Amino acid sequence: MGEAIVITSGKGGVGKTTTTANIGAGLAQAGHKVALIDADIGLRNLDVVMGLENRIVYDLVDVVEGFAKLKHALIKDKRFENLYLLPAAQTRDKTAVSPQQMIDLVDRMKQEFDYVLIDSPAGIEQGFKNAVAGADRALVVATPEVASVRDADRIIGLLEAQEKHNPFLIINRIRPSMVKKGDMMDIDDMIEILAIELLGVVPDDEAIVVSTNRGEPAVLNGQSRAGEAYRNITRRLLGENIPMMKLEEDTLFGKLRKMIGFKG
Amino acid sequence: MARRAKDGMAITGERTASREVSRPAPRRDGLSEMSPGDVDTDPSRRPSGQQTTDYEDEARRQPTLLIRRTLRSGQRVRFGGNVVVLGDVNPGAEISARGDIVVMGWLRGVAHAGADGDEQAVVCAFRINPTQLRIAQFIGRAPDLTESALPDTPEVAEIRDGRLVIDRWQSSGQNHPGR
Repeated sequence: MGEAIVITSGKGGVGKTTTTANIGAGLAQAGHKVALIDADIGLRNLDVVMGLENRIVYDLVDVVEGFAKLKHALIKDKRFENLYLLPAAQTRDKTAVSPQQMIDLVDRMKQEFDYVLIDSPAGIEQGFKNAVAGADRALVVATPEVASVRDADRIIGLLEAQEKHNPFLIINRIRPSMVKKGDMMDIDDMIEILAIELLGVVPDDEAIVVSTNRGEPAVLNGQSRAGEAYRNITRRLLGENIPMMKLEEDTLFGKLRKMIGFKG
Repeated sequence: MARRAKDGMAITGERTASREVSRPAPRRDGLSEMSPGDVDTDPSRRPSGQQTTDYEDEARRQPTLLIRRTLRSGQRVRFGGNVVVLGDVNPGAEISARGDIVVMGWLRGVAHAGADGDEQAVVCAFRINPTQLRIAQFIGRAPDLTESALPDTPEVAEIRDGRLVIDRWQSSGQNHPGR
């Protein structure tokens, strides 16, 4: 019996899909049997980020409606034998699926896979409710921006209301130089507000843009800083104790500036 | 104008072909006597005694849907006949037609011609670079990671010897002498 993990954020554009693709590829690389579900019906992207768009024949809605069998809708990844994608429908909307149908689907998939990662849409409406319904655990992705942290906080509240406790936090797209200058929220500020366990911090990395456009998860790229961060996140998810990546050397000047609370 | 006119005859009235029509087609008798301006499909205005091809009947059997816009991501067209798009078909858009699909623009999305199993169906477009192409039960997908040069020319996709092939569009029905 596998575990279902939803990747969610509330705010759009913070990196849910990228995170799903990278953790999925990371878990598959570690030898686990993994399925990714794109729950963003009507605005699917995970297939593009995984580079599998041209293989889609059936989708999640086809499976839920009984039009296609699950095994026919699952697309095998081109890099890993043990990684599969269940794409979202693009020509439908969130109302095509109900939370109960998602629970049934995810439960079925957990029989077959070690990990089922669910890529949630932005927002708190039905799409979010569908994505969260079948999940055992949640990963909340937030960027170091006030709006993103505010939305993440709202999401954590909604998760708790649904009895999904102890979500993990992933801080995405942090820019150490800006944090150092005090122009960007730092990790501690975010954890203080959200008060959930930090699973990892992903630095802002231009290589991510390239990798998502090419459909090759950055986690497979040894050169990418973000890829390294996602490798660490994957290992922490598997229970290993990996120290947080050092984002940038602290200078004495930087420490001093922080001490006296100099901002900007 | 949205009628099935198999090899351009309805428009030009040219003396091209009553040759080798493999599928039952309406009689085209009398066509050669017509000049281009004479094509008139309204039976009520048809002069009695003159033989005219019944395009109304053909249109009923092979209806054609004309879409005068670009199909964008998430838009899906399903039609029990032919589909003609005056515009592009973007990635994430889908056309499924019982008959042929013609795109007067870029085909970048998914197109399924002969959706009920007609292997004679074709897909043509000014530029073909689809996410996925389907004709009857055949499926072809774009190669992974190719920025490879696409031919800068209209093309047609069809089933040839049990394989889905994309070929340069040839004028005047040379692509499908059998149709």
